[in-house]
Amino acid sequence: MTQRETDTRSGTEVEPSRAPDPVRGGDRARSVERLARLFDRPWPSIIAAFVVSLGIGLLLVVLAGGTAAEAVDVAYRSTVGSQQGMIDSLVYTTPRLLVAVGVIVALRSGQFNLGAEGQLQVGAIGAALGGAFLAPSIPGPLALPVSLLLAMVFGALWAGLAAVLKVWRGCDELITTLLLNFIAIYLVQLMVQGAMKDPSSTFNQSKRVIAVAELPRFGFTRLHYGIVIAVACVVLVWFLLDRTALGLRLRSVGYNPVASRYQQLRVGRLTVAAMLISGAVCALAGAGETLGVQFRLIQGFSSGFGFEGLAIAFLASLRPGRALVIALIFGGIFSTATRLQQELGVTASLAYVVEGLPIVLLACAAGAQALRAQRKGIA
Amino acid sequence: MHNLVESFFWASAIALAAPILLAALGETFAQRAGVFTIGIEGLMLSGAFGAAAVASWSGDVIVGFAGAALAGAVLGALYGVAVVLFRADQVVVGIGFNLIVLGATSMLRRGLFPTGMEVPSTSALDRHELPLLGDLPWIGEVLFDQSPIVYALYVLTPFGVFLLFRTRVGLLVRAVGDGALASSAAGIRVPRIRMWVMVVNGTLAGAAGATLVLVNAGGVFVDNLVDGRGYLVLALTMFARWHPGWVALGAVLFGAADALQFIAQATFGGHVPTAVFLMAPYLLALAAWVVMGKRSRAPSDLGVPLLA
Amino acid sequence: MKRILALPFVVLLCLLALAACGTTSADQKEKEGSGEQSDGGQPKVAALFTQFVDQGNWDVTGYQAYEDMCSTYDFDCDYVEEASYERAPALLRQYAQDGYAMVITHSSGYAAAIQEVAPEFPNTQFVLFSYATDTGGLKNFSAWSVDWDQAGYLQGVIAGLSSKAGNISIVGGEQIPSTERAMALAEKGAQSVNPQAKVSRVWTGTFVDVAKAKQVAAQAIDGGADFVIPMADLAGQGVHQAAEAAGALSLGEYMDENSKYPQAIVTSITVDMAGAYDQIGAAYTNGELEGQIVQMDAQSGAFDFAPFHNVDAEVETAARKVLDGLSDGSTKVPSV
Repeated sequence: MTQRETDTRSGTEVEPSRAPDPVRGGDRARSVERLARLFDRPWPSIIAAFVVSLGIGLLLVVLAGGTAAEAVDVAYRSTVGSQQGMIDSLVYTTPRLLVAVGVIVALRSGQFNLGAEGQLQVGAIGAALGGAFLAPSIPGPLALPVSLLLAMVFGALWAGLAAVLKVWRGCDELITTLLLNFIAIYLVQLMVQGAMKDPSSTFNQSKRVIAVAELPRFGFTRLHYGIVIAVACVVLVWFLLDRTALGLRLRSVGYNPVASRYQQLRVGRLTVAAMLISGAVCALAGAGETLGVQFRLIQGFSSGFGFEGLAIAFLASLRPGRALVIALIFGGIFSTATRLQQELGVTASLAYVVEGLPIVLLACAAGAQALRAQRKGIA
Repeated sequence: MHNLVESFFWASAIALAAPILLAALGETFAQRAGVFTIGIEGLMLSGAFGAAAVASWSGDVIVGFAGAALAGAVLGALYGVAVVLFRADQVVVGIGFNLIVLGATSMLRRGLFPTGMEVPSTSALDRHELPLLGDLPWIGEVLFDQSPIVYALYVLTPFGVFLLFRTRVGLLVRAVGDGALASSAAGIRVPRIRMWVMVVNGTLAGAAGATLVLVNAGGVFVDNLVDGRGYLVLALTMFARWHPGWVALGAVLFGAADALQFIAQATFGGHVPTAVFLMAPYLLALAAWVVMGKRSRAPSDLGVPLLA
Repeated sequence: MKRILALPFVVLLCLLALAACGTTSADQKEKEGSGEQSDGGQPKVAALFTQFVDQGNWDVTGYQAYEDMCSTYDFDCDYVEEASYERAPALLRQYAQDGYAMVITHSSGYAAAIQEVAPEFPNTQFVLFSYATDTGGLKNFSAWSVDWDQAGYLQGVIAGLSSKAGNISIVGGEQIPSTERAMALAEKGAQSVNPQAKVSRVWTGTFVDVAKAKQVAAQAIDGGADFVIPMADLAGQGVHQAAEAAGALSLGEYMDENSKYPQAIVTSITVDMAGAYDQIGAAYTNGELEGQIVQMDAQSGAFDFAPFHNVDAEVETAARKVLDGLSDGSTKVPSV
């Protein structure tokens, strides 16, 4: 620890000319490194955390007037126990998984991207722009790719803004991305009330996305190919981070920006690159909702799954493969909560409690372990 | 634009600043001690719920306010257990904590108040004109015809400055945030100080939530009442460079940006879309953040658990 | 340290085991009971609300009407609060798949979701209450559409008659098309009885942020308005609070709200949701739901005034005259 601290201090002296140091405040860099310790959470502890929190969820259902057996029955039917349950779970999984994978790119590269919510909102704007406005005037087969691409570009630029501000002005991206979330939400409002509003609609929403720009669906179910895109992103992000030179550089910036500079990595550029990729992937979550669920840009389409995606990323120890598993669990939790509300009248907010608890428990366990390791090391 | 010099505009700005300032004062101390509380959003929300719940049980808003502060203190301590004693990552815990509080307050509201909350009259916390001072032209209307909570802030803010920069307590807090390891080596009990700071932070955030629900919203609690104000508090604390005085000034500016919505809509309404005015406080915060970004120097151990 | 960490886990698991055991017996009974109920052959009906059935005015009035309908027509009823638009398609689909005969949505924002889901489930009737101009030619998507133009006009008339200063402010929530029209017509209404009336319009952007609505209304009153019209559903509570605190007047929405703010509320323009839901219940029972849009306006008796307070009797007389004119068609709301 002490060693690292001197590194940080002397690190800023290496290039005194570069005043707006992108890694200024060795604090954040070091806290990313601590996050790295979360990588090592073994499966048993993750399972234990979920068991505890599902248990508490069950207890809450009982306190809210349901019974444990009913709750378990509902949970079974709304996840693996019925076709509809599986489909719903997967539909809910899709945006959350995309956000999780997107923020993993940023977090592993040392960027605290808390702006997934904003990035998916502007992604939805991009998708609607493509699917409802541009698509009618371009060849059919291009409609969907163009819509998705537009969404990714919008999301990338939105996240890139935070990265540029960090490199140029030294603004901590954590706060920048948080603020950009709210601005993006109002931007969607601005769009559906003004420029993109469907004049014939009695609500604030855009025109419907044309049929060729829709994400195709599996058979006659409501499950759209967004889940395929999400899984593809899992693989691509894993490949990028673990199997490519760029990924290695990104991770080394995340792990230790100062050392990276010694190795003559262009930290500023890598920072921007990480955020661009992260924003593009997060934006796909918004595009999926727009092109596969709502078929139009609509105010309030996201019930805050930006933060749920972050939670998944943390629980998954920032590993894309694990994120897939955790996102499936979260999809199941959300599906269960929705059905619990329908059948037992238990507020769907239950999902937030059940999703939030394991994160806190695991973070505590990881912190305690790090402390123990440190003390042992000193002794 | 003569509206901008009107006393009521600035009086509104100050009234709107009160909850943000209350929470930001606590957060300033927490960050000075090295604890970055993303969960301030959740702490405020739990305070808001606590205030409405206790007020409707006890039939007294003052008791409700105290209940909120107590709830905030307890949750702040629990939060402290996670990030200070267990050395959990502060950002991760914050994200989880906010989710939990959002869900829990909503469930508790339905569970404990199936027929709705009956919050008594909040007049005790409404505006009370101060004698003599309130008679001053303009200044009296702006500063001295406010809620008692605002008057408390007139005392709390300078006290915060004094405590942070002129006392041994403040010195310890700053030392812990600027070099936890060194402080620890020098015999300062870092976890203990951080725990106390988290209790204070929780108390003030709880009080901020109570102000929001009892004063600003007149006792009507709705789910997710805080709605992002906690994140504004975080931004404010940081671009105000962890100085209670700057924090107060920034809070009033936010309040003014919020209060401007009415005047701006009345003046430009119909020509400029409403959403532009609604995002104004966040745009302002972002602008301030960009301007202040380079110059501010964070406590060097901000966000870092003490591993020793 | 490890053991300390494990302790709460163990305690919790024990608690859970206890909770699970303790509820099994109650469980069985409950199950039997509910089983009998659904076998009773009543049609299963569900409703979606955007907010809470116990807060504010819009959902509260709607829920009351819904409950009444359920008992009158002997439906087996369910409802979901806070049904966000993200979840709406899934909720509608689930209800339809679970064999619900009718799903009622209590907001115009659900139209998009219904249009996606309804074609797949011809055996479920989807009904939208609030405002719709088009149900996409679907046989199983009907709408009860309130004429918000008339409601807004009436609000303006009462404000124009009651305001002594001739200065009125309208506080809107989310800027949705129906409210936008209602605001424009409220201005016309106020000016129809007081040509000099000055009307300002402000949006808070949300139907739930009471604090924001309160502050905006307080500023409007400080700016000279002595009558504020809330068009913000739940957040309208803040408008009433501001009016009561500053001695100004306000107007209730959908149901008689006077008891909550007796010093401020002049009257409330009630919307006959009970009547509408009763029609829905009857239409379903008689098999008459076939994609129609039922207009709810003054002519159909959808609007009424709650008892007047805080103003001279002439206000009520004059306002009733306008309502009667709208009812018999002799008065028409101007176009905007």
